[in-house]
Amino acid sequence: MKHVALSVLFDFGARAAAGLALAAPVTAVVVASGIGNFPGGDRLLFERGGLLLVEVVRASWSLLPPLALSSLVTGAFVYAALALPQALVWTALGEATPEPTPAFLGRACARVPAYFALASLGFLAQILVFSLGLTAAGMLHGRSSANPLRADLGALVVLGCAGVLALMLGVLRDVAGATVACGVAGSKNALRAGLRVALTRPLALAGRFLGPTALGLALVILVALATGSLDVGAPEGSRFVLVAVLHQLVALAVTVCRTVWLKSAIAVVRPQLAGGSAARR
Amino acid sequence: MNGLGRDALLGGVALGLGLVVLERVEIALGAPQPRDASEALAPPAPARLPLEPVAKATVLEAITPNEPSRVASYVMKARLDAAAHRVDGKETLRFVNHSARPLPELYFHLYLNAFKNDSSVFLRSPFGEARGNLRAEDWGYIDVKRCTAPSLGAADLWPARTPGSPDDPDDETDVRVPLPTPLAPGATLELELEFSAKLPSVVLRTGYVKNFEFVAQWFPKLARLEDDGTFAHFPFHAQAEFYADYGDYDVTLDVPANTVVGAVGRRVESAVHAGRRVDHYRAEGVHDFAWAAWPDFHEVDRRVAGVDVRVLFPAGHENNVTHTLDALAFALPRASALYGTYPYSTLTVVHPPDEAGEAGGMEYPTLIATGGPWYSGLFGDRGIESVTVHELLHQWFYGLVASYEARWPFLDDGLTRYAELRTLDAEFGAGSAFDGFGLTLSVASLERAFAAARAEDVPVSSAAAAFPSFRTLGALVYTRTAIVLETLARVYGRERFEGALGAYARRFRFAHPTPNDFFDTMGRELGPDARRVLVQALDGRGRVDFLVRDLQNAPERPPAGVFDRPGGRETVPLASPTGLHFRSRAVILRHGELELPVDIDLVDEAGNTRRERWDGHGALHVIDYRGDARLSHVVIDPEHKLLLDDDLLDNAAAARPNPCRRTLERATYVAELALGLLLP
Repeated sequence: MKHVALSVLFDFGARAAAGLALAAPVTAVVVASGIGNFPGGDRLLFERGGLLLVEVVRASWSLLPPLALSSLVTGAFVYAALALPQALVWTALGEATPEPTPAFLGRACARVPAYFALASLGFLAQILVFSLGLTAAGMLHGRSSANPLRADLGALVVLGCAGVLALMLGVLRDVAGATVACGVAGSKNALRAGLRVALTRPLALAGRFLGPTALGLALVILVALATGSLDVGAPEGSRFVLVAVLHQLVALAVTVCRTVWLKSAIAVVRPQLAGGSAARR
Repeated sequence: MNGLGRDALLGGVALGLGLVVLERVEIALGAPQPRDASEALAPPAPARLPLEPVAKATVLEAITPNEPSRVASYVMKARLDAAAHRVDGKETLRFVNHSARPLPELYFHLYLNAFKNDSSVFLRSPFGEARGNLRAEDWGYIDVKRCTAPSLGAADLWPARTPGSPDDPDDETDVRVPLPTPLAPGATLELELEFSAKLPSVVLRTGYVKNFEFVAQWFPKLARLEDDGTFAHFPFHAQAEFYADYGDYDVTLDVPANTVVGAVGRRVESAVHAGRRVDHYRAEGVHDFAWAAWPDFHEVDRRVAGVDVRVLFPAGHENNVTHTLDALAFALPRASALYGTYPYSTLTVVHPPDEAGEAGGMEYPTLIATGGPWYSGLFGDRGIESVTVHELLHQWFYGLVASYEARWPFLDDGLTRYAELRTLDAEFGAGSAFDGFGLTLSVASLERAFAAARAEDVPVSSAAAAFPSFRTLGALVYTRTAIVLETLARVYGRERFEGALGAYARRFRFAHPTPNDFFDTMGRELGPDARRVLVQALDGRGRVDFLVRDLQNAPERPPAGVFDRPGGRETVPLASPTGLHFRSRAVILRHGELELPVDIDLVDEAGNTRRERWDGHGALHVIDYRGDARLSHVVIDPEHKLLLDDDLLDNAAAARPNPCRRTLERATYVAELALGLLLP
């Protein structure tokens, strides 16, 4: 339990640090715009009417393409680096009995490449599916221009299907990750085993996935509604700190929700793998 | 390679491929490209705000509205061949020479010939950079079969025609017809014409798509006769619009019986016979006639502010009709109060089907074409309100104040855009362009950015054809004019400004004013400084950028040095600052030609604010400040009155700039959530 709690906290901290790394260049661009010279500072960006928000975008427009490119590169490094906290969380969740910390860390580090491969393959598959969905929706929209309402709805349905498929690929990636946590070696074997489990117990996995995911999503939306204008009208101070703390609590809660799902996935996968091994024996 | 290495390599390759695909998707979805930011900031069930109090116009009420002069009146009978997209018509044109000069010739506009072949001025215009993006897939043209003047004999005058623009003989949109005998000043001439108009596939507000027809600029139309006896004739350019004399229109339209027609004026008669329907329309005191015909139109009729409003729209656009009628309900009475009463009994709104979107966003007297997808407004944008209000306001700045659109487009589109901005702002406040997902954007914010992007390309008052592209025309004629006027309204007072604009609209009602008429009227109401700014900003390329150069603070110390006093020379040694008082200095610069008064806020570290006003004359203004605390900020134009200011972000200086923690916090949170989407 101690390993789980520490791993989840480490994962949360790593994601926060990664978020900071990705956010810093954007903030630098905003600082360079000169908005900080106004007494209201960057609070003015969130004022109704958006006069200075639009002005900052206009002033920084030429910086956005290189910023997007550099963010992609930073994102790639961050993505790779986050394989370590993932491996720690998975390994901690997969521990049948508590292990000594050095052994635990060693086992987690050995699994980093597998989790990196699974995460990257999942990312590639999701992006491809979404791109294909986007293309198909565009083609469908172009063909049914006679009835715009139907064309728009048709394209939305196709995009929605692509989204659901991408989500399912994410679930498959997680189930494969669970098999690694249960002792399957290598991403290829994990994917094969994960696919087998996903096909065998789809409803059990769907139920366990949707609950924590919906809870996390609901938290994000609720806090967005609650904090939308909480500190925008006030100078930087206690309300700004309150919003920042709330946001990080939500980020932590989302990480915990994910952990609950991963734990459930392991609970579904473990007996399947044990059963499969027994049957093979 | 062992399993771990293989996994690491596999992960790296997959991640790289994923990022490449993601970058492609970003580009496909419109991720920022290095162009003008303002062009990407596209321009607009909020709580209703009360109508802004209408400016009092005590001076204006004394100005009697003019009556239309009825120089060119038309009686037309037209038959639509829906299958061939052709309109065959007969036209009786009654024309009065109101000038002091005998007229040896007439000039006609045959606008449809713009779509006849690639040699027309219109099709030689830079397409894709013009008002629309479509190119006609089916040619359009107009053939005049006969043109006689019974009072001058039975001879057909048309064969003697010559190109109206001799230096451009390939263009057939501008035609000169010599008269056998000059038309004396004050005399009336009646002409009989027969014509056949073939519509193009829809392009720039005219033409057909399947069985939808928008029939605009479709008949031989006399060019406007200026007061000096010359005709204002011009080849039809893709960036230009129109210009004509006032008159009465009596038009009979013969269409297939199942066709629903929306037209200029009021329908006085309708009868169905032998599979055809004949609608009879009359419009008095207007300067154009257009109509739309489509069997699939749905129709909603309402009475709004005493005007019979008829909305024609495609199925599925009921939501847009609600937005349209709501927009008319607040905009029509407001415009009548500010710019003179809407003088007609009807207003027809045509929302074209989506595939004929290019026919939308256009104004004709008593008829406006809107447009937009079925989901407009559902997600917080004000697209439908914006287009409806804009085209409605053209009823004043085009319809009733009929300036020369092709020569000075800012007088109709610029003034209309300003009036639109004000109307939407009065109704929707800070969310006048967008209000959704916790974000509000005002029209002024977006227009400002768009206007600033091309501020100095060419003078705003240039002719439509003189703009290098329609993007430039849009940025200057529409948005920069609106921002110039909005700036003046904020600087000189909203009430005074609206009163001045109302005076212009009333003084030149049913007239054809020039830029000088506009500048003079505004100058009379607002003063010579405002007139000078208007002329510099609109007739020239005047611009302005206020900025703070330096902000320095120092503790005040007693004077030291060698002083020759009445009692003898005294040397006062340097003393340490007391720390009780501080001296601060800031330099305010004005770049550009426009001299506008501006407020400057001086904020000290104790949070006290002192406001100064600089009249804007001269290139710089030095602020010497003495106070109990250091100056922490100097802010020029804290209320953002000067939307014309080229760069708003150099309007402030701080002793210690804000580090933008809020941006860092929000961006970090968003990035964390995004990582949660992409990672297990």
